[in-house]
Amino acid sequence: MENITVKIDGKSISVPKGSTVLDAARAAGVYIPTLCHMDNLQSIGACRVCLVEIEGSRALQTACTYPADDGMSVRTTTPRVRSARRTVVELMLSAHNQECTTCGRSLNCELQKVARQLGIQQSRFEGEKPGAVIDESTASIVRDSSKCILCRRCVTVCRQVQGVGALSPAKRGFDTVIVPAMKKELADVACVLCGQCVSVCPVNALHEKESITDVWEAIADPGKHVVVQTAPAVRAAIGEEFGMPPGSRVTGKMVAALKAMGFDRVFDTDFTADLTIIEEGTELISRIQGGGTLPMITSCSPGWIKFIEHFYPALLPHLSTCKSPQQMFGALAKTYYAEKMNLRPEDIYVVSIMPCTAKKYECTRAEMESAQGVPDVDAVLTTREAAKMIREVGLDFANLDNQDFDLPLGISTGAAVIFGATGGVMEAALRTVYEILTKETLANIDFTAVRGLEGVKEATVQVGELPVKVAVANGLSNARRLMDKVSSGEADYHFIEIMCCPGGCLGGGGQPIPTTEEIRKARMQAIYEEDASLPIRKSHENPAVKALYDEYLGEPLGHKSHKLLHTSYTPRSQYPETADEEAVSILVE
Amino acid sequence: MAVTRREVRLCNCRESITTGYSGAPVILRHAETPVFNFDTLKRVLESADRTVICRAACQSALTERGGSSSVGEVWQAAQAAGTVICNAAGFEPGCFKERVLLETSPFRLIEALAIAGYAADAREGIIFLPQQGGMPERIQSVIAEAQKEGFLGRNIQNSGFNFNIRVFAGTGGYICREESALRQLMQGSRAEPMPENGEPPIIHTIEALFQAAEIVENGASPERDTRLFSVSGDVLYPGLYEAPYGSTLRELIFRFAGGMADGGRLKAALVGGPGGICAGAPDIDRRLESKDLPPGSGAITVLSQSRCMVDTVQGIAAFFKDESCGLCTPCRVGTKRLHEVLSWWKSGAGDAADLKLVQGLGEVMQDTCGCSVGRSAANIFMTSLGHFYNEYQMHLAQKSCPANVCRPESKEI
Repeated sequence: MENITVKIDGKSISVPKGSTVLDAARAAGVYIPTLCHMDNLQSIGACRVCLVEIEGSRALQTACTYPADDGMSVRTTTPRVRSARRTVVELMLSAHNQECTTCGRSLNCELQKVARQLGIQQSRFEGEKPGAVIDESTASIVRDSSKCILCRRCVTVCRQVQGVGALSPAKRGFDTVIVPAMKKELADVACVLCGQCVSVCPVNALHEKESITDVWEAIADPGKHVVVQTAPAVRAAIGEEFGMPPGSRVTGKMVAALKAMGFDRVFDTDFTADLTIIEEGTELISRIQGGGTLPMITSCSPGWIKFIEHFYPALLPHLSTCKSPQQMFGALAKTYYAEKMNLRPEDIYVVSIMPCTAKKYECTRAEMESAQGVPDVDAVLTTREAAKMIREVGLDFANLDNQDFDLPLGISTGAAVIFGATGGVMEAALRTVYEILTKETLANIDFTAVRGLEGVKEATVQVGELPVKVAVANGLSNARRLMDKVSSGEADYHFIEIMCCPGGCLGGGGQPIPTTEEIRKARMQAIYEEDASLPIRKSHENPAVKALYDEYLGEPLGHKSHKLLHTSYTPRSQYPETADEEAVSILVE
Repeated sequence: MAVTRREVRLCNCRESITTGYSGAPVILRHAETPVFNFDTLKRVLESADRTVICRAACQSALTERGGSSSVGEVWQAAQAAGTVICNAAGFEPGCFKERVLLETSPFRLIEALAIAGYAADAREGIIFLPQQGGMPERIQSVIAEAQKEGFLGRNIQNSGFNFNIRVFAGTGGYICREESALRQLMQGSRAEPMPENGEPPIIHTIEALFQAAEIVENGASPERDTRLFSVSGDVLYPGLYEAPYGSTLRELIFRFAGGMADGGRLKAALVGGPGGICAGAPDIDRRLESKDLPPGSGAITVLSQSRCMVDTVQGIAAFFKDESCGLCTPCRVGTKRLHEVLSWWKSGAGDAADLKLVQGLGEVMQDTCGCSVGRSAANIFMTSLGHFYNEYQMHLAQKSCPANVCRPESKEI
């Protein structure tokens, strides 16, 4: 590719043609602050924090949008640039709810960081602030317009990455707000609650609905037996919250921390991930052999489930009827485990630590109640919330000694760990389905064709006589591509894995902020390392799962399984049902 | 320089147009009823090659707003089978040339757009009409008439040229004078000046389109280099005047518009609309041209001594606060803060130190906003400080309004 040479603060740098000034500055090692910019996703020059002086240009320009040109000379630190950036951020602050000390993003806020870097000690501008609209309508996500700086990142990620488009700017000028369609609340539109908007929000205008208080109360309640389950992707990321580099494997430290916090038992969602493979794998085999609806599609990701219910309701019969591992765990905790421990289901309090905001919503679904009158899962904490609680008890996380999960719901395999990465459920299923169908032992259990961050992956695996065609998608706009193929009948796959978030659960909306492409890769590597390090790496070889079938469930897809581990889905509309008058008036504006 | 009232072919009118504009219906004093006349288009199609037209247009001084290339160059660079857009949504306080041209000369508009389409090898023309005063039904019926007579559609006048025009009546507001915002709106998005990829379509203002048609018809000549000026405010005959480029402010106000109304004395003139320049009485002999007093949209709002500058500038700040699209920070918050602070000053709040802070804000808005609307939002305020600094000081330090318009002493904040 053709290269051009640009001078940044006097330093010459050669960059590919088509680069922006921001790209060139980064290549030259010159830091330019940004707020609205997202690599490869959004360069709209909205926040105007990345202003630079370009020789020969009258006004200042935004580095994120300005094309670098051969021979161009750029200055990034002149008094004019610094003063303009400062004024812009002061204006932003004058319209921002500046309750920093009590803000959920304090010390991890991009606006705070930029303000500090620019040496802003006060905002000289006074005046009206935008009205605070706080939307707590969903179980997962809270919108707080008083914190919003209108960077549009949430709008872009929802539209372009997830293909959902639940958020848009409405009204104009100073009154501009980011709102769901028709100015409805989030719960009343086709939002899948994936939390990717939360993940990219530079401030705290979007955040998860916290369950921290509920969980502390349950732990403090002597009448409650509080068990916690941790999802596979959490262990590959939670270290980041404590200053450890992305990709640090901290399973043992995490278990130690949770025990120190006072949970009665620390269990592993990986146990039910293995169980999911047995149930889902058996379901796949029975659909293939019995002429059931194909391709069968995974059902672990609650954001994905809500997406298909809203946008492709006609394809619901393709979904596996298996509950997600989180919900299987909850169901078993309140039945199998309760009986084993001689506890009443209502005295058991199940907490999940999930990389996910949609899981908070999933556990409130009416179908998710296996023991009478009590939900299977009582509270869901995101990875970030769990970290907050660990900080609250003052643990030195990075230096904790490793501890092991409790028995029996803490035993798992490498196949379960890789659920945290896109392609992982598929790979785990293939390991099991292959061996069950062929009754042979796999020579190589690494199905690398389904690994990696690519949006859509396809593979054909020879299972005995049958070439099994599979596809894997991560991120909902990629899911759309596959679903359109399924709708049109073009897709001749047997099995499709879909994860709502880019990269799978490791890039979930509940994971530490920031989550970038590099960080996703590091977390993914940690997950596959964890898999490779475990003695058992196939779900059907999990001894605790075998014991569960022997002692309690009987057989896969059996009567008890059906009752506890399988579920049903609800077709939903993608449009709000009614438009109130105020909403219509906004559209007319 | 002697100013002669010459024939205005530009508008299909025999004399210069004079209108009264006060938000009330426009009364045309000398305009004729629109005349169905497509002679120029016919001649062009019969005799001229598109390259010849482009070359002729390259000779002219006519460039698009903010553009560095002439109309001819723009046409030459156009891709085949493209679109030519006429942006008739340039309305702003004090500027009414678009409205007058739409009312008096709709056939000439259709003809001029078709000529531009021919020159740019386009297949379609779109007339973007503003939400208010756009008269989409009327323009539609004119288009229909032209189609019926074979001046639009397939194989126009047996020339082999296919060209049609449709109307796009938008709701985008003032921001649509910004071309990329207009394109966003036409693509079904929110009207915001977003950075765009790919080759943009050709967008002409309505005046440029008329001028281009003149050039194609008669060739470029410095003598014919005229502009339309919308003169309004405290003058005897407010109206739309065609005057040579480089006329002085004095000529516009005293010769064309009949001087000050009601025996008032000239205080200031806002040249180039709300985003233009605040000229004071000493600027009266400055020339309305880019290297002296840039006329911008050609709007000249004349203020007599009875007007208060703080009050006037506050009104303009309100306009920009309402018209900001909300995309970029300095415009979204800056226009709001500017309006707030001017309102406080009007009512007696604030002190002299504020002036420096707000001046700094104005400078940053001019230097950092994402589009020309935002960058010009503080222009009148900033330029008014030159001639009327004392008037601001009196509001702030002495809590008095020399023109007796604001009542700074009567309110407390």
